[in-house]
Amino acid sequence: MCFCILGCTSNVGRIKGVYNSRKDILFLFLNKSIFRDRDGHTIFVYTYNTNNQRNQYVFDRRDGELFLFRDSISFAPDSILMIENNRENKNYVPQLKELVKSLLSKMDSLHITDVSSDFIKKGVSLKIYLKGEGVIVYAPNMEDVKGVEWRKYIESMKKLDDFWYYSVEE
Amino acid sequence: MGNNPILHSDFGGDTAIIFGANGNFLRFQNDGRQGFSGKAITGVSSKVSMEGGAPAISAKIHYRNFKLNDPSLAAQAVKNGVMNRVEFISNEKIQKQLDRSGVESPEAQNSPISYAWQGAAGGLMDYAIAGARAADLNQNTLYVTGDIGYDIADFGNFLFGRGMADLGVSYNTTVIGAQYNHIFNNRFRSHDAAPIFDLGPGTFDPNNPGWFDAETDQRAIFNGYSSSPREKQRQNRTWDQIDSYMKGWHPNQN
Repeated sequence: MCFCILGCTSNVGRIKGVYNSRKDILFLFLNKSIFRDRDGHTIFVYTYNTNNQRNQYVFDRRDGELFLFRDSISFAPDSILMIENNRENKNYVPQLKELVKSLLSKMDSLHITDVSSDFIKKGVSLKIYLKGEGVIVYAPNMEDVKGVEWRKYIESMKKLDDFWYYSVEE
Repeated sequence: MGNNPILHSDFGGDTAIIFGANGNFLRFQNDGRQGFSGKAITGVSSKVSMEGGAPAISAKIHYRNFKLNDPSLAAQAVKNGVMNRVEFISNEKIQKQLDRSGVESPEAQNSPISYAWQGAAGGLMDYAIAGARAADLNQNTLYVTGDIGYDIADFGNFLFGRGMADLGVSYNTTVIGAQYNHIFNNRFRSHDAAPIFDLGPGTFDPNNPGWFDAETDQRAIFNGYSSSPREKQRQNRTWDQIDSYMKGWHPNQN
């Protein structure tokens, strides 16, 4: 019980920390998904444009350094990352790595493990997963939330404001 | 949990998840049974007959039926609109995942337990991550093999079981290893479910993994283990030994 109270309290603090940084979060992470495997050895970065096309960049992390293992490009240039994502551009990979490093660093500073824009078509523009317990969801327009399941899900969460919701149970 | 998948199970009907011939999800359909299962359209045959002097055309849709390893979760993921495809995965593609994990390499075959130990917690034998990394496996797809459909995470468990059998590790050790991995690498780190495999409301609960590996995970591991050619050969040898031993036996023998 004591653990739960302490855990819940720290997670609410983390949720507030993310919420207070919401302008930065939206600027940095909207239309992007960043996932890490359990050991942080593999990092998946997906970007989504307005035509529902997805670019994929998969990195390996060895000795703290990022290596681009694979990219799968559906739209170029990448208007979400604002880079020329073609291999002929010699700055492409270094720029991409620096960008991803800075995004990961921002996530770590806010105790975020992963961010997802995978549910953008369902009306959930951003889902943020926190270390320990808790998720935060950004749904800018409830009328855009598609499907009963998703509406029920958001309604089951606690409200930070009209656009931001959280749960410490998930 | 307010979004427990069990609560969203449709016990009254509408329980077959129908996929089109191209693999895309089409609809839920009441098949008169309880519990969810899968059906994929394989073709349509039509017949022309004469009824009352006029030609009548009747069409019959042919399906390939399959069970689901985790029916509630799969149905919920389809309802969420996150899982929307089925793939009848070929033996070649399964073998590709196993080859990538290196289980047949001399290094792995010489020290299988330590190889699995290093691989299971997030390396070469973390098959779902490795498959996504290589763009072979996708979160939106239900993978069917042996007439059972698996979501990507459970398909990873299936491949883990298969990989362990290919390494020659006993099934009991495999299960104990999976439980250990679950308890020490997942529960204490609150990372049972990877967000990359989040299939939407009611399917994702990284913080309540429970002490032991879920029944559905264990079933997937068992199915994968049993599907290994090496394990099948071992079972056949055991039956041959029993058969040979029984040849000299007759009912009056003590």
